[in-house]
Amino acid sequence: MKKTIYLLSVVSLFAFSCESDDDFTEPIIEVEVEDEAYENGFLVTNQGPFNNGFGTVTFLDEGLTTSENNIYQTVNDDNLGNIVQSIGFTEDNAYVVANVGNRLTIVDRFTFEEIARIETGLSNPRFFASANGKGYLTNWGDGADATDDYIAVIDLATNTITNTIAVEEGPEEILYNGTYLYVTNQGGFGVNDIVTVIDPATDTVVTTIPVGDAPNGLELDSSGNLWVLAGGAPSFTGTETAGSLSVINTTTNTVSSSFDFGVTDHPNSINIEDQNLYYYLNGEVFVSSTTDFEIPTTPELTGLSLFNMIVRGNVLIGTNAGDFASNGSVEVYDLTTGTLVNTLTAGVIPENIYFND
Amino acid sequence: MRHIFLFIAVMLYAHASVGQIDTLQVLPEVILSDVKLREHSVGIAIQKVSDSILQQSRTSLTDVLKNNTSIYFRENGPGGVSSASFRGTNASQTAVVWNGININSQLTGQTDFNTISTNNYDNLDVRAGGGSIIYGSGAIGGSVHLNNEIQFYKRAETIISAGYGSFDTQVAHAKTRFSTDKVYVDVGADFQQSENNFDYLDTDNLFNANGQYENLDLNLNAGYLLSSDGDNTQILKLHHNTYVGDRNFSGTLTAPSNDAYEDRNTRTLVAWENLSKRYDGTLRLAHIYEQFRYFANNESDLNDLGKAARYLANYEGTLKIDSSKRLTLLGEINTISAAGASIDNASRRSASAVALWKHQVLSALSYEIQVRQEVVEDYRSPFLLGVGLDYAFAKEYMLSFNASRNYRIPTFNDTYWAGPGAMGNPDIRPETSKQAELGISRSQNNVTLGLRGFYIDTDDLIKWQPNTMGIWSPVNIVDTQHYGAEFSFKLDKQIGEHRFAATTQYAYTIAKNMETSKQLIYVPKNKGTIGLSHNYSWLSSYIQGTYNGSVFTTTDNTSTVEDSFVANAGVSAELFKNGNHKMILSTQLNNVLNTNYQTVASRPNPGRNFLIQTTYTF
Repeated sequence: MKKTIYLLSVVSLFAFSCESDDDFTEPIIEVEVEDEAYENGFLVTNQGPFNNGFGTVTFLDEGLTTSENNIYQTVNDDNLGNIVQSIGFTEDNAYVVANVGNRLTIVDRFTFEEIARIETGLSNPRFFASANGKGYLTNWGDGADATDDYIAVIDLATNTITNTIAVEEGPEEILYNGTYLYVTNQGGFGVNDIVTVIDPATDTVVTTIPVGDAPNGLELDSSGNLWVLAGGAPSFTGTETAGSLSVINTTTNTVSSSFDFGVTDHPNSINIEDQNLYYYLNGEVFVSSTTDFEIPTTPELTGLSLFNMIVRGNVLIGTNAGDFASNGSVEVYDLTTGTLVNTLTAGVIPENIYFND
Repeated sequence: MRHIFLFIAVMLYAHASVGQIDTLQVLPEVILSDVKLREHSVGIAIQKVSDSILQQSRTSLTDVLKNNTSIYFRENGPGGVSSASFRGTNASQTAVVWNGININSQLTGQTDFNTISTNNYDNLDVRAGGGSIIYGSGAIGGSVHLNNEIQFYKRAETIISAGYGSFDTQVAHAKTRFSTDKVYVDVGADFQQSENNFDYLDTDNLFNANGQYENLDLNLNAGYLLSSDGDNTQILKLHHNTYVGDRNFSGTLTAPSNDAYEDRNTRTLVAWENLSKRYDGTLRLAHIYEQFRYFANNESDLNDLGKAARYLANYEGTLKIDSSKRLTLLGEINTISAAGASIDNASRRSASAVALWKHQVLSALSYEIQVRQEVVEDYRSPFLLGVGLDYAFAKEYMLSFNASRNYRIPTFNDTYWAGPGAMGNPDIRPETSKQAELGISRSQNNVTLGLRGFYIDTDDLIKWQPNTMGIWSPVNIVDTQHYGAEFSFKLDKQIGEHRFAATTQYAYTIAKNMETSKQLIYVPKNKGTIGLSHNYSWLSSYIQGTYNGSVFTTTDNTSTVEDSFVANAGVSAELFKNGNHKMILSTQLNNVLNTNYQTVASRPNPGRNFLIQTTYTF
């Protein structure tokens, strides 16, 4: 049985990589269509019930008209573990991170068939990125301990952890720009204010770049600059600070310019689409140009209740977690008209959205 | 070591002087630490959990209550955090009352029922329905009462027991009582320890990892008869309890765990009672301390601390106008301070006044009116009013009615929390309820039947949810409605030298969110228990079963934990009896049917398991 699945996935991968080739016989094309059910659409991570239970992944078709929940269970008859946090990708695979479950599940990104899983060596894993045939997975360790944070380095050929890179408190999102890996050190249970730069050739920390308090997202613009959005220290820390945006020159790895929000403004969900930078703040979506950036004063969309969002073309896709204790939804907005065009069901606490192509 | 423990688990039992009856003819008030429980529960059903049940269920308060009452428990496995849902209410809407004092946590508003040892109490009573006027915050679904008795007669008795069970569970208990006609002292110690590493049924090699626990409960009760002069009796009483618990929180089917948790709780109550025919006055001073440490990694010293200390003083005066009329007035002041990793020294002072009027109009008819007003610094407390009626409308039949307004105050966490990703709300208000119940019971010979309907309307339930900035914060947002019916049956039957007892409890509960009309999560519509026991001279045995209906785990009622029926059985044999010396060997077999069940999603419970104990009394 396992062999059959393996064979099918190999066949389908082959089929995918040569999809314009006309030489395939009928049956193999059928296999491709059937198996690669999750190609060209969106994957949404759902954390799952807060205390007990497991997270799920929802698939949305490219037209954003239908959703299919629990795709991992459907394919593998198993669950992904407690609190599904995020997904990282390679060309062929998806790496699903279960935060409380301390598990990385490796699946074929288009069939969602499980390939392997890593269940040891992880401690509060957050986000995954790949570079040079290796995977890099940020780990908080104990969120209250500033000294046990690390990046697990995974050999993607063997799916084993081969190395760890110690980093400062609270490594969160991670991005590879073709040269370096950039990690936002949000700060675990506390607040940190740096971006850690890692060289994947040596798996060492090249430098750390000071940014605003609690950096929560990072995106590259079309010129290769790295935009880091920092939420600022929330009020519960006792010393509330403003959110800010820092633009990092990835050649020099220094901050070339930065922008401050109001002291009680704590933005998140940075997205750069073409030359527009979008972010979410207090139920509103704002946009400004990356070439002539200034902090916008008029929102693009208002009255939202989103946990996270992405922008693709003129469409904004947001996750609405509702009461955080029941199935949430994905809301699709047309940015040209500012209207809600569709609402699709998702799992419990839907959070991150990825385009899968 | 383990085997030695098993072998020395010898139990002896000596039954003390039988001449209790004469000396017990003192006022019952002398014995009871909480007179109001008996005197001011008109229209309310109180279920007394019998001594024999307490002795059978050697383990936690959770086990005793889940198997013998209609209270539903959300238990994170044996030894894990366990909270009660009474009539579909939430974990902070059941009050736990220790010798008359509400001991729910000032930090969480709840009591973890797995941190209460049952062995050190003489009485365990379950009072269904509203009780906030007498017992304060949280007595909405009902209240659970742990009481120690102080009695003045000549007695000296010591009980020692020890036992060993599945999953390397070791238990030991010792209690000694000494009393004269003037002095009473008892000291008890109860110890439990378990690896708690049971296999998860129907899985490949999965087991309850990181579930080990151990705890020690120490209890001291003392009384001194200061004077007993004709009509006037003056008594000084002391109750003390210390609980030290160390445990790890086990993982689940979907997440491993390596955390640990320590509980350090102490409770001390001193009461000076001045009892006479027309007037009883009691002055109480109490100190209640709670402290926890949570270790996210049990191999690290890093931990989160939370603690709260409460000082209480009250004076209660009861005027017995005549044999049918009682007026009780109570004034109380509380000072509570809390601190910890996520609470910066916070304090709260309150004063409250309570008046209780009870009138027995006819021998078959009594009614009661209760009021309470509390004044607190940091929130506005509602005025509480309650009425009750008991009417024995025919021989053997009793009709009872009770209606009351109750509340649950914001906890220190609700008001003052400032921690990662979450923030208390200084403007949070108490939850309130309006509730009513009507019951009918029939007691004839050895059969007692009860049927009771209840209705609860709660407003402003405190719910933590993310605000617009994504910070979790409590708000008074949910209104719920609960209604249902409870049926109880009890039969005692003696045939020759054989004594049989049968009990059953069944509850049907609808508890819904008023906005969505969905059933609240973790509230089973059906819960029932059944128990049968047999006693013959030196041998006694029981079988017992508990049914928990399925519960929803998401607020849109799309996910469930399946229903389950779990059966337990036990046998006790008196190995010898010689004068005051007595030894009993007992065996419990839990989950006889080896049911694979969960009460909380992804947390399997143990399969078939046993506990053997010996008890020696002298």
